[in-house]
Amino acid sequence: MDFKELLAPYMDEMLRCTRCGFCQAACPTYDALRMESAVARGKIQLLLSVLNGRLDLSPKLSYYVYRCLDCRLCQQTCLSGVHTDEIFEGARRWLAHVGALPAPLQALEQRVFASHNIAGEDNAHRTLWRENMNLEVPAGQPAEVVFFIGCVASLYPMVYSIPQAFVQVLQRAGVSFSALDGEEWCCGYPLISAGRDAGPLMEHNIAAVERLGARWLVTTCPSCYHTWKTIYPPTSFQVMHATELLAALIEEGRIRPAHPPTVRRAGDAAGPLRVTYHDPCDLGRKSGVYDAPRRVITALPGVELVEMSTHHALATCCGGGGNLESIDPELSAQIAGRRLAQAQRAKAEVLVTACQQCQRTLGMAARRQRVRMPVMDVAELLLSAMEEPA
Amino acid sequence: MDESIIRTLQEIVGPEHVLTDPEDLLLYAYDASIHAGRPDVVVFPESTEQVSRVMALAHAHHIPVIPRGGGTNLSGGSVAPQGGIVLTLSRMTKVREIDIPNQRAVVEAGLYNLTLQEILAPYGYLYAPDPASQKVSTLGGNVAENAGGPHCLKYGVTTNHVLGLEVVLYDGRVVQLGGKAFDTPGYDLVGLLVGSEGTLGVVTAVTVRLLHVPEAIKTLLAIFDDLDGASQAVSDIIAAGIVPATLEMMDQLMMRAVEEATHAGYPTDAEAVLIIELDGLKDDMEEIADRIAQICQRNRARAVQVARTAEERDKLWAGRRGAFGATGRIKPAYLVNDGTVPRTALPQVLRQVREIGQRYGLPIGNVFHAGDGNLHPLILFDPREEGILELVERAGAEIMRICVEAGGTITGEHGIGLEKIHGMPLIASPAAIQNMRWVKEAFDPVGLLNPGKVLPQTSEGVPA
Ligand SMILES: Cc1cc2nc3c(=O)[nH]c(=O)nc-3n(C[C@H](O)[C@H](O)[C@H](O)COP(=O)(O)OP(=O)(O)OC[C@H]3O[C@@H](n4cnc5c(N)ncnc54)[C@H](O)[C@@H]3O)c2cc1C
Repeated sequence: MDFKELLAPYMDEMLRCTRCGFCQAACPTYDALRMESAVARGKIQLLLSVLNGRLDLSPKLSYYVYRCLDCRLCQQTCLSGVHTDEIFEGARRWLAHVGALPAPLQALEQRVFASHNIAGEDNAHRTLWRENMNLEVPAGQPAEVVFFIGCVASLYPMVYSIPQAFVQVLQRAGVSFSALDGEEWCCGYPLISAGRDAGPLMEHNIAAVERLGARWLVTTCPSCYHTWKTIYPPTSFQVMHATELLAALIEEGRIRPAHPPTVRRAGDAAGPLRVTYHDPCDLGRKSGVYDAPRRVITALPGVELVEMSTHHALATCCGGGGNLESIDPELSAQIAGRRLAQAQRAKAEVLVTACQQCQRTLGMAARRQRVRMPVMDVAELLLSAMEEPA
Repeated sequence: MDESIIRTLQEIVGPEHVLTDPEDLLLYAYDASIHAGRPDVVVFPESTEQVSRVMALAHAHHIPVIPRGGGTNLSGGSVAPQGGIVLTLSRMTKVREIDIPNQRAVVEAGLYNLTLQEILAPYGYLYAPDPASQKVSTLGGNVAENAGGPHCLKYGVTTNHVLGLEVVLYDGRVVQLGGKAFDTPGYDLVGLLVGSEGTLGVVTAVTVRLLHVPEAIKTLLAIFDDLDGASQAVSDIIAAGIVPATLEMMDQLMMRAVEEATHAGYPTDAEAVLIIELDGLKDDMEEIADRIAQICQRNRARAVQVARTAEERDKLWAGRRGAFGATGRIKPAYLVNDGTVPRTALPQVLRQVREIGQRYGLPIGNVFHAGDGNLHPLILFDPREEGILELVERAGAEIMRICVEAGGTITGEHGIGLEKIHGMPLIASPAAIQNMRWVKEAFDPVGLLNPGKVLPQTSEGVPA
C-alpha cells in the first residue's frame, strides 16, 4: 500500500497554488535557508509530483515535508488562500502511514506512548516543577478549574517558572483549582502534528478532567490549548488559555497589579518599561487569541507595550514551532535569533510571550547571542507587578 | 552530469550549496509561469568570485547555465528546458554601498527589491521600480527582465534607474559596466544587459539611482460601471498632460479574487476601478486631484474616493500587488499576457480582449498598468481539462497579435523567455532579430547562457 489516497483529497487545494512565490517572503524557514525546499510553493510542487507519479517517496522528501514550523504564515499570507495547513497535515499523515516518519519523530512517538510525556520520564515526575516551591498546589481534587500544565513546563527546568508564577497568581486571586499531576498525559499534539492519531491520550485526559468535575480547563501551553480547543472532541467543560483567565481576573478586580514589574533594566533606562509581546503561533494565528495577553500587559503600571515589526496574525514564528526543533535544532535556533533581533529593533527591554516553547527558544537565543533582554511569560511579568502577600 | 564536475562545483561553493537529488532538481524546474524544465544541478554561490569560477567551469565543459533569482518571472525565463546548471543568486544579498550624497546604492543581485526599499526608507530615499512582486523578486531578476511596476508610469522602468552592473561573462571573466555616472562613454552596454533575461551574462551587483521619498502622496480610487469609461478616462488623463505616479486598472473578475484574498475595500459590483496615485509637492496636489476626478466623472465614473489614511492606501496596494497570486481563487492556472498598446487604443483593445475571451469560452481578468498602456490579461484555466492548454495558448497568441496591430508590442515587462518566443517575429523584423543574434554571439559565443530563450530558432521566419 502506498497510502497515496491520504494525499489525493488535497490535489485541488494544491493546484490552487499559482507558484507566485510570495510565500518566500512569509516563511521563516525560507528566510534562513533561502532554498525552494523550505517554502510552501516548493513542498506543494513536490507533493503534486508524487501524486502525478513523477517522484518517488524518499527520506529526503519526508525530511523536507517535516522541516517545517507549521506556523501557517504561508497560509496567512497566501493570495490564493491555499490551505497549506490541510495539505501538509495530509502529507504528514501519509508519510507517517507509510513508515517514513523521520527518526527523531519516531523516537518521540515511542516516548510519548511509553511514558505519556514527551521527555520520556516517569510520568510521576510531572510534579517536579513545583517541588521546590513553598506552595501547596492542590492536585487530583475536585475543583472548578483544572490547570493542565503541559509536558514542557512540567519537566524542563528552564521553564518551570511559568506554572510557578501562574499558580501563585491564581492563589492570590482566590481561584479554586487543581492540577492532575501523574494523571495528566501528553495532550497528543506532538503526535498529531507528526501525522499520527492520539485517541488514547485524548480519552484518558478527558476522563481525568471530568473526574474532578471541573467547569474550566486552563492551560499555559498554547499547543495544549489549541489541541484541546480544536482537535479534541467536545467536552463537558470549557477550555481557556491562561492569559484569558488572567485578563478576566484583572478586569473583575480580583487581581490588582500594584507597581511596575520588577525586572532588571539597563542603568540608563528611563521612562516606562518597554515590553514587547511575541504571539505564539498556536495561540495567535491558530487560535485567534491576540488581545488577552496584551490586555494583561497593558494593565500593569509603568509599562509601555511596543510591537515588533511583525505581530498579531503576521507574527514571525520563534523557531520552535511544529517539529522543527526535533528535525533540525540548528535551524530552529537560527530562526529564534532572527525573531529576537526583531525585538531588539523594536527597542524592547523585555520580551514577553505566553508559551513555554517560545520562551525556551527565544531565551536560548538571547543567551547564545549575549543579548541582555529578559524573556518571560505573561504570568511571570504580572506576578512581578503584584504586592507580596502579607 | 559528470561526477567530477559536481565535485568541482562543491569545492567552489561548498557541498551544502550544490543540489543534485531528484527532489531538489524538481524544485528548480518551475517558475511562476506555466513552463517547466529540470536542471541537472542547482548551485548557490555566495560571491562574484564563486560565480566566476562556476562560469569558467561551465564554459570549459560546455554546460548550459541558467541564472535565477526568486523564480517569480512569468515567461519561463528561469526554467531549464535543456538541463544544465541553475545558478541561484539567492545568497548574494549584500549591500555594498549606500551613497546618499550622490543618491546611489550598490547592491548584490540576490537582494529582494523590497529589502532594498526597507534599507533606504530610514534615509528618506527609495528605488523607483516597484514590481508588484517586489517582496520576492530580486534586483538581478528585475534587471534581467527590465521590470516595471505601478510607479513606472511617472518614473520609468528598471533601465532608467540602473547605472552600473557587475557582470560575470560566459567564460568567467568579471566586468564592470557603467558606474555611478549617468552616462559612460562608448556603447551603452548597461542598457544592453538590462532586459537580456540572463542570456548575455550573469549580473552579480547593481548600481542603482536613488530618489527622494516624495513630500506628499494622494491615492484615488475611481469606480466605473463600464470598462469603456474607465479606459477612456485613462486616455483622457494622459491627454490632459497629467502624469500621475500610478494609473492602474482592475476589472471586476480580478477585484472579486483580490477582495477575497485581502479585503482591501475594492467594490466588487463595479465593472472596473482605476487606482490613481499622485506624489510630489503638497501645493498643487488638490488641484490635480480635482482635475482627475472631473475627467473620471465625465467618463461616467460612479464615484472617486480618496484613501484617507496610510493604512487604507496600503490595503489598496496590497490588493493590487496580490492580484496575480489571488487568481488561484478562481482557477488553478493562468497565462498572463503582457502586451503594451498606445493609451488611445486602450478602450478598443480591451473590448477585443473581452471578445476573445467570449469566443474561446475562457475567463479573462484584467489588472494592469493602464497609464503605460501595459495590459495584463490573465487567461484563467484548469490545466486538467482536456485540450485546454492549446486553447489558452491560441487565445494568448491572438491577444499578442491585436496588441501589435494596435501599434503596440508583445511584452511590456515580463520578458520573452520561452513563452513569447513565437511572438518575436510579430514585433522584430528579421533584420532586427539577426542583429540581436549577433549581440548574443558576441556575449555568448557558444550559446550556453540561458539557451533556448528570447531568440527564436532560425526556422521561425528569420533567415540565418
Ligand atoms: C504575482 C506577480 C506579480 C508580478 N508583478 C510584476 C510587475 O509588476 N512588474 C514586472 O515587471 N514583473 C512582475 N512580475 C514578474 C517577475 O516578478 C519579474 O519578472 C521579476 O523581475 C523576476 O525576478 P526574479 O528575481 O524572480 O527572477 P527569476 O524569475 O528568477 O528570473 C527571471 C529572469 O532573469 C534571469 N536572471 C535572474 N537573475 C539574474 C542575474 N543575477 N543575472 C542575469 N540574469 C538573471 C533569469 O535567467 C530569468 O531569465 C510579477 C510576478 C508575479 C508572480
